[in-house]
Amino acid sequence: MQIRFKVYWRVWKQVAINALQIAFVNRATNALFLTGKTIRFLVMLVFLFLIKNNIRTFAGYTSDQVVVFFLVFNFIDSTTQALLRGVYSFGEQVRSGEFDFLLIKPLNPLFRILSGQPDIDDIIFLIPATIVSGYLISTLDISLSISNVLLFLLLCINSLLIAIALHILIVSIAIITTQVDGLVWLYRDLTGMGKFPISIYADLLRFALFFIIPVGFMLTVPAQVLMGIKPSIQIAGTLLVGVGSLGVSLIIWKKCLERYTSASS
Amino acid sequence: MKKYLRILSLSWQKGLVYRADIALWRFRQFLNSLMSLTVWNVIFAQGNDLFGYSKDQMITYIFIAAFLQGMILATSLHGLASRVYSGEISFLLLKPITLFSYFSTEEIADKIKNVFFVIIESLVLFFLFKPVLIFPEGGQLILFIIWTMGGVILNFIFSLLFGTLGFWSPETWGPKFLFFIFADFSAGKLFPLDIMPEIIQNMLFLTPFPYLSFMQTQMFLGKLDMTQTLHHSIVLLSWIGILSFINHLLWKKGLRSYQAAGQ
Amino acid sequence: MSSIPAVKVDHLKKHFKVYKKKPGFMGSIESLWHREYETVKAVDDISFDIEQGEIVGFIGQNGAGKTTTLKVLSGLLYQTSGSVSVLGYNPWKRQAAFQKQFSLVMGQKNQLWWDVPAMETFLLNQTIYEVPEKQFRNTLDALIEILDVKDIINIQVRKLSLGQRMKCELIASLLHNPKVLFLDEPTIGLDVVMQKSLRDFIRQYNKEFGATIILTSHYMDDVKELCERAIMIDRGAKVFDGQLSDLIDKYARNKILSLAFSKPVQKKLLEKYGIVKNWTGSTATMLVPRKEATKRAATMLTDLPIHDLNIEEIPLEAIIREVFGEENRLHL
Repeated sequence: MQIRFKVYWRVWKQVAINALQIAFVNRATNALFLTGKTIRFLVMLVFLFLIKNNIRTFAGYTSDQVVVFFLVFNFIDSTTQALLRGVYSFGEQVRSGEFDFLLIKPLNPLFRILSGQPDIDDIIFLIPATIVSGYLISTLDISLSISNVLLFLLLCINSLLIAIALHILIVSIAIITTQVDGLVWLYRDLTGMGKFPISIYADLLRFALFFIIPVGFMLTVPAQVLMGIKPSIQIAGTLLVGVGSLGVSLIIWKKCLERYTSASS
Repeated sequence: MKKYLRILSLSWQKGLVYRADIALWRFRQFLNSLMSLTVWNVIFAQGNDLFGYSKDQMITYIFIAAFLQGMILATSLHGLASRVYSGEISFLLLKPITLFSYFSTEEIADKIKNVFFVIIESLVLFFLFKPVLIFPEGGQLILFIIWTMGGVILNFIFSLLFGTLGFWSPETWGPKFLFFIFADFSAGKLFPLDIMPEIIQNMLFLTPFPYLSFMQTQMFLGKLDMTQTLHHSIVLLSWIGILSFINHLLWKKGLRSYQAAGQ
Repeated sequence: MSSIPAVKVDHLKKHFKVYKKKPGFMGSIESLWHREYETVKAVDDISFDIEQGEIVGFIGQNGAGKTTTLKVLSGLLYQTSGSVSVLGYNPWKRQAAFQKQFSLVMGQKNQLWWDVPAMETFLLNQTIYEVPEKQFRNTLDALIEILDVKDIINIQVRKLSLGQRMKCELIASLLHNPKVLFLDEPTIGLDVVMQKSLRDFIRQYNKEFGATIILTSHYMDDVKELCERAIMIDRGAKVFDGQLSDLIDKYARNKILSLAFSKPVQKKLLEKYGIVKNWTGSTATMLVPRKEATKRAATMLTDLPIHDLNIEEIPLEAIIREVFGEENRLHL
């Protein structure tokens, strides 16, 4: 099968421009969203700095490192949300039959489903948030090396793979149940637990967050690598989980597609 | 009376149809509580008095905040604005029942359901963490219950207010999202509002948000004296009064333009 | 016409499992731990071939299996058993080479982006189907011309009327010049004028591009005007496949006579001319044998005080209802 990268890129660009146009039409709503996201980010930072000023260690990490865990969470979470926002409307697409139109087009339907509506708010939010994060990290007592930063970026790509895999899992289930919201929000809350290092949670939960829903590989390991802390799981293992989860999710997607019943008219 | 019971039963049935969604939603609430409890357990490993809270007080705060989230903040009226916009409520307008008593009944059904689940979750969390919880004395408990009712009414008015947006615009998510962010921040399970810097607290106390859960938790924890209790009771009551007046005006105006447009 | 059929369906079956909920509150409670499923045979062993360039109408009642068949042919649904091929491809594999040559239009569903003008969707489809710029412009201009939508393609889709939207949907589906076209209820909800212009367009498209078209419709006029061949489906099975005129000849034994009298006429008096369906005294509707319709009408005109008389074909809908009637089930 030949992959038509150029076509995919052009489609994504067009879809993104459309999303931008729509965002501009609904600019008041989007301004409110952006404000909300900013407030949420800032409040969380205030909270973490309060902790930082009041306690010295946090489950074996320094309080400075706890701030970095959150900043890494915010970066990876916002990036994946910006790129994979299309999932939110998938339930509606299945119910209304719009999904049928994605299936008959000569383009991988997953591509359109996942990247369908790049979130303009998140993309805009990401720029200042990343700058602020970079600045904050530079003020913290953290030692960064070039090799760690490069490894971190590699692991971020791996995190994107894991996020894609989890989203494919969500839409696969949604093909059958036509409900997507509950699962997406569950995903958000599970990843939200990665605001703090996953290693703080009780054994069973920690195990689940690494090996059932690989949030730990997605959020905690990259932050550990960035700070030069020994990662909970080896980097090679983490990369393997990234590729493996994507493979598994694609198999599940295929199986679920066979059971698709298509909204009847 | 019978028709209200019927609405009650219908709304529970609807809940059972979407039981997977409800189970997921409750599971997420559970996870959130779990995260807060874990984080504060880790933090309190450092000492027993931080931000003016003892460990037991903080843990109690999380349990109460979880309860109040189900009792006060969760609402069945999320989709009200789009129901208004799409014209769905015209059907309700035709029925021999006032709109507000219909909505309140739906809301009550929803709250009963939530509280039922919150209690189960709290029991599970209690057995997981085996915390020492603080319970208020009789008088405070009664005041807590009254304030909680006040919070329920306040949030109900907010839900109705958001509903009125639907009279004029299909785009209602923006304001609602901002509301959630503020509610989450001022009544959140992760941390109590009063650990925040003074200036942020002062700003928030110019809004009704602290009365949607935070003040109730403070009452429960016995952190308020007589004057404070009186002061906040008056403020809570005033907010209910002001907002229900605005709400009344907007619904009246909205319904008039609604019927004029023949939706 | 080529020797390979454009569409080949061989012993196709598609079964669904459907969950049955018991009514009432207790039913909901019970469904918490116990659910009953029922197998619905939406398509149950259907076979047919369609040659290139044919327009074929699928007729049958709601839920007969028409749409399900189309969806299997489009690669949307995975068949329970049997095989289908379209232009020699297996649709389920969803190969790009196949998908670029066919299109599916569903009257009740939208592919247009709601918040932007239809033109944006057209451009997106151009990219997805990799239509060369020149061909795109030519096709677009031609379609805009035929469908008369020049002024609306730059208006936000949500502001268009149903008919305008349907025309834009058609354009979006046809920009890549599909060789095979599946139309599922394309005229549903449209007014009579719009229905007619869509029908004209479909016929023209078939002629100009030599496209193979399968059409399902509620409106028998669509099928009557467009399709020479009809496939009738009932409860998942094929019950008729042939010329539409044969269907009418075969099953329409009667014609309808509508009468208005200048003086009241007794019902009994009418009964010797045919079956009286409706009678008020001053008006009546009757069924008379097809072949003798004219003759009987003439006798009645001389015998009775008639001031208005009308002879009509039985509507195809009624024929189908009769064919599908419980007692008249056919097994062809």
